[in-house]
Amino acid sequence: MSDGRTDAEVIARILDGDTEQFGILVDRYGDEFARYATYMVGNRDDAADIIQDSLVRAFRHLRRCHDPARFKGWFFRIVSNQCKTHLKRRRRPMKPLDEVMELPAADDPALDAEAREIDHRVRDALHSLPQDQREAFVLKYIEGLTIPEIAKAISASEAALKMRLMRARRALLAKLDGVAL
Amino acid sequence: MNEELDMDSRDEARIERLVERLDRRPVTLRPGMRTAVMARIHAEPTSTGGRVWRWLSAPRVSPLAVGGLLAAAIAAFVLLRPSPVAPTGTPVATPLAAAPQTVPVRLVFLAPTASSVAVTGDFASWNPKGIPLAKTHNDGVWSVDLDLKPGLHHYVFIVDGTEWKPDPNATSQVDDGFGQKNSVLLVPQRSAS
Repeated sequence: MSDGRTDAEVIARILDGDTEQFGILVDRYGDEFARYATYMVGNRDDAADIIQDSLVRAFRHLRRCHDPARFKGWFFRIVSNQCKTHLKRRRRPMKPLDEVMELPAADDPALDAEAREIDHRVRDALHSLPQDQREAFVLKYIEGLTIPEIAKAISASEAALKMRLMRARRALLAKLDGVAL
Repeated sequence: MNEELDMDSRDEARIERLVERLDRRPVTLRPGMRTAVMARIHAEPTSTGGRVWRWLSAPRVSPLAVGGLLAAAIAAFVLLRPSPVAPTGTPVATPLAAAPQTVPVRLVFLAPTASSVAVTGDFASWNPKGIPLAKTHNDGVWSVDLDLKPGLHHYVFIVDGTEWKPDPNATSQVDDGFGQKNSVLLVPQRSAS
């Protein structure tokens, strides 16, 4: 569903009291960061809760979105913060990513057992990274953002971000040493 | 030094193959997301902040702001013995007169080169236009008198309509959860004197 209005126009209507317009932003961004949140918290249900909470939080604090034209980046920051808060509070262990992502069915002939095992180890390795490294890696390689885009999104310097990425990549390579990728 | 270049091409190739094994398909979480979010939004209490904002943003001229009486305000600040949370000289939460439910406070901000200064915060529903401050002199001091409920308030100044700045004289700053700082103002209960 596409609404021709810009985010800024929609937000102006919401701030004028037409709260129903927020549904447009939910449609636009409800799933935008679902994959990121899922990779970050390792659980689709928790990720769904985080996105929902983030949307409600965005609505509550919409007046604080200094630049409505850049709502997406502002909203991402809320999602990112909610993920971090969730990870701090989490008591139960993260589920393996196999259970998180919708993987091809077990009888998919395209995937043999060995390939499945390698995929499993790759996901485990990613999941074992420290939170900040995992975030940087996911944003760069899964979401496809550029270094400047990520730095801006997570309020980190490009130098710090590159360091995180370098550490993430080295850690992944070390964990997967000997695995025939 | 380019840390990214520290990896050799063999490692780069392994990273590429590793990434190819990760699921990058879009994730759809809940088909009923819109319904659930809108239900929660509708359940939010009616915004009293909106009413406060409309009242606060109505044009009002503070007699103290007009007369160049910043010194008088500071004198009043000293004479009235500010609450323990307002440090000496900090232009915050200065009780000026008795009121049953709100406390008159003055916010002061120094911005010599600004063409406009406003303040926004929880007491203004974080309206991005803010409540305008008046330039009290040509010395770059801007101020506004507000009537705020006792308690903690978070706020920032808006310089020239776009630049959000915390109050350098506030007793404390807190992270606003969005990567910036808010100033904290503690408005004391008025004593029944």
